[in-house]
Amino acid sequence: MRRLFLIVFALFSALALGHVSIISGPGIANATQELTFGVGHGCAGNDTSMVRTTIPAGVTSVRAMTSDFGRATVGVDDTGAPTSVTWQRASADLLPVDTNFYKLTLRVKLPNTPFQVLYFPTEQTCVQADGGTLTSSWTDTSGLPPDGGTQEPSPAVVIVPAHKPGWNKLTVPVAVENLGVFFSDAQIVWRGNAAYSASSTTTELIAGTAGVTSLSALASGDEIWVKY
Amino acid sequence: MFRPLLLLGVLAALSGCPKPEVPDAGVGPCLDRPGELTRAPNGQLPCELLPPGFTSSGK
Repeated sequence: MRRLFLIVFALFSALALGHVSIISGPGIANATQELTFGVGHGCAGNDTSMVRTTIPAGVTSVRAMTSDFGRATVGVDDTGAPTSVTWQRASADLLPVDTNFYKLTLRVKLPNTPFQVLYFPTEQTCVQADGGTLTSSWTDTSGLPPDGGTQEPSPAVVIVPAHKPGWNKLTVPVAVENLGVFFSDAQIVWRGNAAYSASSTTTELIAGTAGVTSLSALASGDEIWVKY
Repeated sequence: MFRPLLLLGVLAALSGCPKPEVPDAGVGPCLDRPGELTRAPNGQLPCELLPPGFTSSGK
């Protein structure tokens, strides 16, 4: 429970503090979609020259998009499976100071693993005025918040099941301890007569409705109704 | 200068004439089509947030 809370904290901290993070929102299980990495700042006042992210197992059909960094390079293993994507900027394009925000986008197919968090460990390199380089490692997959140490939180995407606007009946394949991680964009979640909502207003209505209890976690195999 | 207008206003009120229309602050559509817009919560979950087949026993 504590770990999941920390994952939520780390995800939102990354967004708030401008770390390298995935800013395109939840990913859809077993679907091809775009993932966008936000590069909020460089390294110690130096502009970012390169970003290299590791493609986790289960992610397929990787296509990197050209960005402000120019063309991206997709690394593959001996079988041809994608293992990394590298965005490298031309030296002439580097800014003398760290003032800009960058977006780097991939199109990928995510694995069919709803209600899990998928990490994309990432290295960020910056060039100093004297030609030296600095590297920031966004590779910590523990779910712990940033601590200023050698590893910072890895970019991550929350995988949710495919769904449509309106009511969706789903079966949960794994236990879900922190509903806020996976149902942040749902209006309400029901299991039997227990309900959860990320909205504080709806949460008050749940508490005020006779015969309805508060839903705080799900077990593997639970059938739920979710309204998006 | 204002006394005649004031007097007319008093007479109008005494005679039961309708008051001038006051802007409704944009709630007109709510009053005309109450079923088409989200209404303020009354402390309980609205019907549209209850799942299909919901019963209070949860069965």
